[in-house]
Amino acid sequence: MRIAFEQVTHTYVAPSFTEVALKDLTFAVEQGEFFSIIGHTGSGKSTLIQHINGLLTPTSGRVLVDGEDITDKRVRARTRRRVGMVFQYPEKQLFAKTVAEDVAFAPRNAGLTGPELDAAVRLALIQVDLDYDEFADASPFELSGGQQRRVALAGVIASAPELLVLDEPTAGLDPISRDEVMDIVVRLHDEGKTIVMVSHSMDDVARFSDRVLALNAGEMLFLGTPGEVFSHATELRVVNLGVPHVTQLVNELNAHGFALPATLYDVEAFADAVADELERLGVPRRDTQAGA
Amino acid sequence: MKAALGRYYNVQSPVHALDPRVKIHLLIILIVGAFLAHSFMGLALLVIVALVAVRVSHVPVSFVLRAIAPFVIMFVIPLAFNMFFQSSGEVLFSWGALTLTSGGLYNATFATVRLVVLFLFATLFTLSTSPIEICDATDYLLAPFSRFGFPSHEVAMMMSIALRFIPTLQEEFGDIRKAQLSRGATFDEGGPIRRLKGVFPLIVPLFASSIRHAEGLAYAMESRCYARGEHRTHYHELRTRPADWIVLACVLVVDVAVCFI
Repeated sequence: MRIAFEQVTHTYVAPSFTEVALKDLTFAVEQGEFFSIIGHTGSGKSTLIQHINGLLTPTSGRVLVDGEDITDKRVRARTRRRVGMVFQYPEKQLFAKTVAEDVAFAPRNAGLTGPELDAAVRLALIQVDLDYDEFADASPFELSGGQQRRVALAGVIASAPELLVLDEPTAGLDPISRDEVMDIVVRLHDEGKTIVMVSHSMDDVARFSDRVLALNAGEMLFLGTPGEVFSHATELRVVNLGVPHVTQLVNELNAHGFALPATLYDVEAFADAVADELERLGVPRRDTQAGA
Repeated sequence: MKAALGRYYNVQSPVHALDPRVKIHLLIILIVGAFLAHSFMGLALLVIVALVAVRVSHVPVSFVLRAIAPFVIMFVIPLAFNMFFQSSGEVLFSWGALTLTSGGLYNATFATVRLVVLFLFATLFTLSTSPIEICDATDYLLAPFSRFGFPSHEVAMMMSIALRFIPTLQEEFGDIRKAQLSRGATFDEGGPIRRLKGVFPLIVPLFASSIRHAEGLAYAMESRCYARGEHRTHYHELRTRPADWIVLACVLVVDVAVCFI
């Protein structure tokens, strides 16, 4: 599915204040894409993602789902079923007595019953690497933080959404759980789901995204491939955004006389570029395999 | 729209600056005054006091009215009852079983004005006194009862913590609601049973997070050596200044006047 934002502006109005959270945003998330959104706290990321399934609607401008305006009630209802939302700390939404019951909530709301419902629950638990026999009857409140996160994720993907929105899916997790969750997300993307991810981890963003949207104060700062976006290290720094560790290293090496491309962000390509660069600078190349 | 009752209107004004303990006493004295009043003149005096207080408080009149608006029904129903079901004096008009007498009209209006005055004072009190101040004042005013084993300080502490967490839980409730909506939940469709069932996905996570908050807060308080007891001091010491005494005296005079006119 394709989600298109057309000149979307969103203004929060409260009795004591008004705040423009999104300003004139135009972009589209393409079918099957891994789309990341980066931005400092308060840059409008959370407001933006709530427009994707119509929890919020634009103050002006349009959000189109496969060409249909989401302000239409029927389009919105249909979109809610096709878009899965994984909010920050999604384990906060757990409520049922058992893991299976909690995971069944969304597919049951979508109208599944009996063996179909059971199959959806089993599939969702497999997708988040939780053993059905071990976890189905456990209380979600007695699991570890990482397991709770995965149950909550299963609770969203159980209704088989085509597009998955993840708001900082790895926030507050230990390193192992972080990797596990990112593995799950990447696998879901490989299976054909469109992914929209908000993240503060520039390494994750660079590693997995097809395209990155950088927001600042509700406005689009950059939109492009990770290489393009992270080549603006200085501008990103100004709005309190970092770059991936590799890019940071590239920039520091370049400051000391290297001439590496600023679009580098992944480790393999970086190693090759450094080797080429050393050769250019006249340092003899050694066989790294044998040396290691 | 959210009711403005019980909300604090944060501005600086002489009314806001009064000692909250004195303000609680003022409120009680004025409420007693409203009940003691037996003539329209007396009530009018209290209305004037209320209007002056609103004026001095820098709270916009529209805001005060909005705070009272939800209770209009509580004014109208007694008004109607008193008007038609009390009969004294001459008959003004009658229509079927309904008869309006001059005495009924007088009593009904009197009772309603009294009710409005009561609400005005109570509303102005909460509009001009922050929740924290109310808690601190409660702490002081209940302190004498701690001699008889009443945990006055703990009650005040519990009150202030509860108030502190209302916005937090409100926000969390909003988050949970959005998450469950996104999972296809419906909260406003179907029969009563289905609606009741629809509440669980909202309430259970909210309870779970309240317990988490309580636990976290308990650890934070303990690690900062919180201990119960009457000898705790306050960061914001409440002070009663000459102005407080003057206002208190004036209001007492008003009360006495209300009794005699």
